[in-house]
Amino acid sequence: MKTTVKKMRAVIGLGGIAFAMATSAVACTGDLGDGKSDDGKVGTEDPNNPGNDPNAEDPNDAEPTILDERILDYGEAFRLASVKLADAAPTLEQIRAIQDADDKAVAYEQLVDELLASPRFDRRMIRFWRDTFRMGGGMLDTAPVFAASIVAEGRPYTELFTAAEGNCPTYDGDANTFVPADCDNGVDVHAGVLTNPGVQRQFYANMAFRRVRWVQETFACSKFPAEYSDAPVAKGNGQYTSPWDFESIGTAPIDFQDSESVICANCHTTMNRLAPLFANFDEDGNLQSDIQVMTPTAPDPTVTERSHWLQDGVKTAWRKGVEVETLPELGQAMADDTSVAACLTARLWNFAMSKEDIVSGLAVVPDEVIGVYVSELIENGGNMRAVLKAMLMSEDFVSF
Amino acid sequence: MNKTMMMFAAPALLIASAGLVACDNDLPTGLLNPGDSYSGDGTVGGQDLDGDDIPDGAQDDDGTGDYSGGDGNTFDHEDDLSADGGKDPFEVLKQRQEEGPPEIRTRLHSCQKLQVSALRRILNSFGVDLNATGNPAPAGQLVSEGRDALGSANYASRTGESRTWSNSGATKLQDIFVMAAPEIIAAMPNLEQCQVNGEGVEVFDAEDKCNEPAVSCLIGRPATSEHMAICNHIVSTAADVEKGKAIAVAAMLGGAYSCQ
Repeated sequence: MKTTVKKMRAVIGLGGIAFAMATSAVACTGDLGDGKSDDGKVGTEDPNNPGNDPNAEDPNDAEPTILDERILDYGEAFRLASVKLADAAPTLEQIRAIQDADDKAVAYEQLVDELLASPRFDRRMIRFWRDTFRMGGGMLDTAPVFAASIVAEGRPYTELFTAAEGNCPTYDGDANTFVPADCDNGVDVHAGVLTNPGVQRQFYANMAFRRVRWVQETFACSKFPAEYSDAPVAKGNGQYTSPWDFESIGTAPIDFQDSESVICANCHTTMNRLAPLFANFDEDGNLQSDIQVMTPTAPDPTVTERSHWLQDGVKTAWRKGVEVETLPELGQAMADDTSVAACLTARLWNFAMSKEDIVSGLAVVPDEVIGVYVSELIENGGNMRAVLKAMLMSEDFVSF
Repeated sequence: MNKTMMMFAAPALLIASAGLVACDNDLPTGLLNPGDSYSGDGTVGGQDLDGDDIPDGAQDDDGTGDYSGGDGNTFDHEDDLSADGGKDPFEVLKQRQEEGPPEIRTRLHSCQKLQVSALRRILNSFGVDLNATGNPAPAGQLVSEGRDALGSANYASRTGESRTWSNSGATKLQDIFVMAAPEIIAAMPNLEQCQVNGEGVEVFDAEDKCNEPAVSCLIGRPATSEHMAICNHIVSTAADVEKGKAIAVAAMLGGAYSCQ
């Protein structure tokens, strides 16, 4: 609670509004006021698991943390859920429905279900993916809308990378429906958002590296380097940490094997194996028959050649041991990669818990916090909406 | 440290500790002089061309060199996918560390900035005219004209809506609530948002006391006795009752919707 109050005070204090400072803690922590909660303190012993195992750790031995000070508050939880899922304040009837319920958890869940079924949730998810994808508006909306439709309709998240059709939908705001449509950018076999014209256009850059970086940061939730060797080796003025052959990447016109100041290959052994897959999309996101990206040579840039990225004979790949020759193959590799599932789960968690971006804000989520949700996402057929609901029903979300 | 945490944390920390100069995608800042040939619309890799570290641009005899790490020409990679390069990673890391260990802090709610869309919808549901204009600017105008301060997305520069408040944004929000308060007080009895069984409520009773149902509706959760005490205190201590009522409503909204 102290952390939350501290952050609230910091935020409100920025505005210099004393009265808001005084009341912000009340509204946002949910445990001030009369000191009563909906159902009392969290973390009480589960009566179904009395803990007769003599080898089990005595929970009383664990040092109390701030988590033990939290109090269940379904009213505050629903206020948050309503604003997050529907951009709306709860109505007075909804407030009373929880306040007056004999079983507040049941009333809360019913109202959360209504939020998740609301068209407002569809729109909120479109904005969530716009912000996640860093793109939106016009033709740049099709990828966010596609991702939102997957969440809203409970389809497998793997379609983000594997769907071969219907990848460029629009949203009919009058009818509150997703309108399926195929992308028309010259791609024979699509691969979810990986072949989306808006994505290719928004992240067009030298040697297709920005497209690669977008894929890595958006769906693997970390910046490059993405791969690490078990046995780093000294190289130049640093350590070479990639598992790939150091000499597998290009040296001209850009020397990716340079190690004078930093070890470029730590990132580029992975990046250069991905970039060629995105290189034939032009600045408008249309697939062409030859490479469309440029190598930043001076004084004039030149059209990138495969040898600029990789040595002869080196194949493209998602990760070490996962060679892919096409974007559909890359999409399937990503769909099969549990770290991608973990990334998407962490993004949902950060959405629910009001955290910053997992990459730019370093809002990393430990496995012990989201591991159960990653497992659920994999086991439930990739339904992100169901996982989000589980998060909204969790002890952490309803505790303040 | 567990596996997934390592997966996310190790690269992030490595990047941070390496000073974020690890290799990335774009042309080194200043590699080209302004006006030099390039493919694009005035920027290369999203960066302006008016950099101050402009090498000769010539390649070594073997065709390598100027585009990789060296004493005078290390690639200046963007820290972030956005055009403005993102935040200082060391500052971000410091903030995360101040929040405590990840296994604790990630289980606690943080304070996310109220999204502009949510602000508009909430104000509208409380009877605020978002299209109103005037002098002084009413709440609707403040919202429309304050989108940048409020942290709206700028997808043209590959930047999503901000998740945290800026000084100007937090101040703007309070300004908006203060200007919206008289409209809300007037509209409250007829608001569908704040009815139970079809009956509306007044924010204040005949004795200028705050009504609990109205305060609950404003803050989106059951009002506690402390909420009511603060509300009444603000009204009763104001130099002018009507101004006190407006400040009280703005305070309730500010407390409830500074975070989402």
